[in-house]
Amino acid sequence: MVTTFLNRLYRWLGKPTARTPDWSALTRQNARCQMLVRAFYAFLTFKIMFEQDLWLSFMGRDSMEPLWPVWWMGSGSPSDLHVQLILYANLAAAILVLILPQFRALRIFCFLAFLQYVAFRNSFGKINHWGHLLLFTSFLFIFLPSGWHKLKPTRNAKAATSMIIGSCIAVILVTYTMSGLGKIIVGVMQASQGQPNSFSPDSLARHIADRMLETNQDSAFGDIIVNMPLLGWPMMMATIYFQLASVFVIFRPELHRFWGAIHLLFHAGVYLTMTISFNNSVFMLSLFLLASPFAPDSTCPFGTLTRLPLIGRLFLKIFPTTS
Amino acid sequence: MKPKPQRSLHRLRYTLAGFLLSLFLLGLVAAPTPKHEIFPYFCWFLFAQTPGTEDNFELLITAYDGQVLEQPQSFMGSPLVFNPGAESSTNAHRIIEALGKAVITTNPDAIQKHRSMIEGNYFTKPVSYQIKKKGIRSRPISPHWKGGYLCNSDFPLRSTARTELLIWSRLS
Repeated sequence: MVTTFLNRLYRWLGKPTARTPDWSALTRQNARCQMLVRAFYAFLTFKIMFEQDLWLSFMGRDSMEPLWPVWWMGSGSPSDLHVQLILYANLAAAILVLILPQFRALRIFCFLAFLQYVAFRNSFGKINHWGHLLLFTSFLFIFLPSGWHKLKPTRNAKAATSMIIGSCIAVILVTYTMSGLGKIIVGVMQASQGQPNSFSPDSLARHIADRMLETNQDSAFGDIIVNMPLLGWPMMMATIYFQLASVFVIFRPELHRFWGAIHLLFHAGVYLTMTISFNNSVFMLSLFLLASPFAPDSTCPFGTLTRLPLIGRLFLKIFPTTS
Repeated sequence: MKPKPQRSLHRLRYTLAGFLLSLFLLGLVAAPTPKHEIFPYFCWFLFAQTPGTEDNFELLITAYDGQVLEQPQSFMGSPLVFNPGAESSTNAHRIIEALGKAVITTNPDAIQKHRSMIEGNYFTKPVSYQIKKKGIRSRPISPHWKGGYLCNSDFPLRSTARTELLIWSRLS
C-alpha cells in the first residue's frame, strides 16, 4: 500500500517514464556521483580552512545560549579549550574524510564534528543558515554503500549511490519549495489582515527598503526597484513560482541544469538588490544541479520548457512537436 | 546473515524518504517557534513576511572606551565593532531588533539578555550607544527616522531590573 502511494506520488511529481537506466548509463552516472562526493568534501575542507582567521574571534565570544548538540559547553562564556576542541576536531575530520572518503567511520566523524561546529556558531542568539545544507549533505553521505568509491562497484552499490545523490538534490530543492510555501502562507495571512504581502506590487521594493534600513548600505540595483516598485513585481512572482515548484524538479532530471541556473540568477539578483550573498547555496546548486549526474547530456530547449512544473502544458500547446 | 541486496536498497529508499519527509514536516512544525527552527530543522520561510510600517531598529555608537565620538557611528559598517564578519550582518541586526523591541515593551530580562549579546560579542571595550527606531514610508517607499533610546554600557550588566530600565532614556 505504501509502495502504491509512493509510486502515485512520484508520477504526480513528474517521475520520468523511462525505466532504470541501462548498464553503461548507470556506470557513467555513478562515476559522476563519485566525483560529486569528493568535490563536496573538498569544498567542506576549503570552507573550514577559509574560516580559520575567525577562530580567534570565536574564542572571545560571550553570552552563549547553547543549542542541544553543544549543551556540554554550558551557557555564558565558553571555555577556550572547548572551542578549540570543536575547531580542531572539525578541521581534522574534514581533511581525513577528504583523503579517505570510503570509510564510513570517517564520514560519521565528519558529520558529527560539523554538527558541533554549526551548533556552536549558532549558539549566540540567532540561528544563521549558512551551514544547514552542508550539514544535511554530510549526514546523507554517511549512508553511502560500501564499495561506492570503486572503479567497478556492484549494481546495487551504484543504485544506492545514485539514491543518496538524488536525496542531496531533493534536500536542496525541498528547502526552496518551503521558502516559496512560506511566502504564500504568510502572504495570504498578511493579505487577509489588509497588510502589504508577497503578492503586493511593491513587495520586493519593501524587502529592499527594509534591507537598506538594516544595513545602511546601497546596492547596485536596489534604488531602482525602490523608486519603481512595479519593476520588482514580476521578479517576485517568478521567484515564488520557481521556489514553490522546486519539489517537482527532483523527479525531472532534464530540468536540473535549467533549475540550477535559474536559482543562481535568483541569488545573483538577491545580491545585486539586497547585498545578501548565499555562497554555500550557490556552491550546492552548482555542484548538485548544474553538474547533476542525472541530467541528460543534451536537451532540447523547447522540450525543457514543456517539462516545467505546473505551466509546462502551456508550452506543450505552443510547441506540440517537442514532447 | 547479510540482508539481501534488494531488501537493503528498499530499506535505504524508505530511510531517505523518511529523512526528506522529516525535513519538510519538522520544518513546518518549527515555523511558529520563536527562532523558526528546531535545530537543525528550519522552516526556510525566508523573506516570507513583507515589511509594513512596523518599527525597525538601528544601533548608533555614540562613545567608545570613554571617548565621545564626533559623529555617531552606525553599528553596521563601524570599525569599532569587533569582528562583525564572524557572523552575518543579519544575525547582528536580529539581535538589535530584539533589543529594540524589548526596550519598547519594557522587558528587563530581554533587555539584559540582548544587551549582553551585543556588548559581549561585538565590542571589546565599554560603549555607549543609541537604539534608534526607523520605518518604511509607504508612498513613496523610503526609509525614515522615528526617534530612539539611549544606552550606556558603563552601567553594570548584572543590575536589577529596576536599575536596568533607568539606563534607557527616550530621545525626542
